[in-house]
Amino acid sequence: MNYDLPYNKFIFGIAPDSDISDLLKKGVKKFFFGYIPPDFIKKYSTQVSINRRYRDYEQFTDIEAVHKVIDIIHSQNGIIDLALNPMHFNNKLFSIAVDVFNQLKNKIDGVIVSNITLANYLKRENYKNIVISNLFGLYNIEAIKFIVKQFNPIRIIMPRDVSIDYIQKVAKIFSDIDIEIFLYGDSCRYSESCCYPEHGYDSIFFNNLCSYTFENIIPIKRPVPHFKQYLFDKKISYNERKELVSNNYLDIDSLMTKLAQSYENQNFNLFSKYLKYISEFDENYLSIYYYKLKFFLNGINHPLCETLLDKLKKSDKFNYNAFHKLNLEAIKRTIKIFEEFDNIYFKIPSRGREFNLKDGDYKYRESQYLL
Amino acid sequence: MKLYLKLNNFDIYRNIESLLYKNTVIVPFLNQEIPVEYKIVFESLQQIKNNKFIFFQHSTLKSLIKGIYFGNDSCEHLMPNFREIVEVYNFCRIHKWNFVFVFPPISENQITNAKEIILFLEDLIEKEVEIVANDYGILNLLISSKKIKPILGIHLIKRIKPVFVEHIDCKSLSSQKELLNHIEIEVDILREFYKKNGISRFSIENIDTDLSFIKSSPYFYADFYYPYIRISTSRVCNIAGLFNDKRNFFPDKKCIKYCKKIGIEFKNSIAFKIFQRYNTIFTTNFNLNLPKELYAKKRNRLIWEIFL
Repeated sequence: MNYDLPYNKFIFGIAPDSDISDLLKKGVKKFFFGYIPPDFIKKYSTQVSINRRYRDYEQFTDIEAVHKVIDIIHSQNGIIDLALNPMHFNNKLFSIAVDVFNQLKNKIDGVIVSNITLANYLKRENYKNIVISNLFGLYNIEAIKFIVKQFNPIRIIMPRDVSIDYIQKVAKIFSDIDIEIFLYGDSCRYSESCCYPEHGYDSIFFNNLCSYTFENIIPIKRPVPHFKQYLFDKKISYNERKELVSNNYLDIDSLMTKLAQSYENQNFNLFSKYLKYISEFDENYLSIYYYKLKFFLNGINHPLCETLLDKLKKSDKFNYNAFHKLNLEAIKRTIKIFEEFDNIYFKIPSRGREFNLKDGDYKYRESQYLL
Repeated sequence: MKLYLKLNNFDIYRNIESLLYKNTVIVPFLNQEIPVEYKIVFESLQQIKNNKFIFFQHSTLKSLIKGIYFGNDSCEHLMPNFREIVEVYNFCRIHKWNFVFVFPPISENQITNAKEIILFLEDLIEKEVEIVANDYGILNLLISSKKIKPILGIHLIKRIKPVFVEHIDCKSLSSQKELLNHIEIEVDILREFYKKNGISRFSIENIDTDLSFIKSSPYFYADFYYPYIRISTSRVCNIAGLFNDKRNFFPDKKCIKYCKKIGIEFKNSIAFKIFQRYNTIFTTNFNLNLPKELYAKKRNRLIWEIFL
């Protein structure tokens, strides 16, 4: 389906099962891919990769297939870059990356690098078409100046989590360099350049750190550096001292238990303290507990609860995933914001993933950027 | 090896004496469920006392300390102010300790503030100023100053730090370990690049690492951070997101800093031992079993993060 988008401004990630002919027909001209030699995969699998993808279906592993794809793209006046942008690097990975580069350097149009080692190597080899990965974490203009001065890249990929005005500032200041921005986040919640856990062990443990942590949050009272003062205070009992240093869980469930206990014990100082903790939570967070809290607070039947009851609103369950949905309207609005910049291109991180847009009204929650 | 304290904020500085001493009072509480920081104060101190040989000195703990690393390497909203910097620096002067400033990763929103801090430090400190950079922007500012000795922070020494898989018997992990135990700074090209820019000190954490390269030229010195390990530091903040509307999951231009009062634990995470303070997910490794090539070098440092 043709969504009437400026496909010539898109940079598509491809994998062996990507429909390249279809993309070329739509007008896509820029691509990138990753290749891992089969010997490497046999020994190390794909989770410690030479690019930023960790699953075998996201990689090319057959050099002949790579040559074929490059030829197809070039025959349609397209360009294709090789991704050599891992998070983790060392002598061994460096030598493999160099081998792969040397195998393909006369066919590819650029190399996406994520570290100074490889960028430096390419510079020494007089290779001109260096693309700077978002893994450099270029969140300020000084950082971009550093990289441009050192490596003179042809393109810079911005991190996912930057504001629109920062992107516009970068595109203006560095107007002779192509700036590539993520059109959507492909479920990466954290700042990729400072995010170090493993990926790709799906057959063993199907969870990434960001989704695991987001779904399992328990807020606690922050431990304090002066905690020993509590432990030294002989005026309070051992049990009270124990309570002061214990994990003070602040999730709604434990707070409701404490609230009920303090109400039963007629300890209204403690009661109002726990009520205050609960009421300090954001409305969106409280709304997840809408029915539970409403039932509970109505049961307590105390005037202090009324303020909190007034605050409670029934609303959709907060879904962080919504940041990263492919909402067509949101994408169109995002593209429109940047249309004055000739040097801005849009990254489609679709290696091994589907790029299925859906129709729908624009909603803030469903855009990559805060509009 | 030399011992340095890492103080992430002014509150921790104000409680140095209490944190360093009177640890027997914690012992009765160690078996119960208490926040990891309280246990670590005791456990890490015990480990350092049991491994004093790494400092090649038989001295009291206090006399082993050679300096302070001051500053938070997690969040740009938590940078200390000038008053705090001056007080900690003066404290170091009185104790004849070195003072090292630590920057977090910085965005465009805080780069002006960061530049002011750099100028302030250049004015304040008579001799050479050591500053830890955790992004390339700060690094670029530091290398242009003749007075500043830049140090590569944890976030400029990137590596995979497994959280989940280590707890599972995984066939591929055992062959991958030979890759995971080697890090980018071992590559000569990289050390040559940094050396050319006046940098010869880097940071590592207490993760199994092959450090044989530190015996080879170009020579580098290690700052060994102990015992906390940074698994993920992010501009999106789970703590900020708890207390504000959705926009403030990204506390961009300013933040109310709820993290000063709130931390995060994760359900079912006892096995994975991860927790969040500030905008960073941490784990810990308080076993101090250092290779000789690391502690035998006088100019390497143990950066003891006594509290988060």
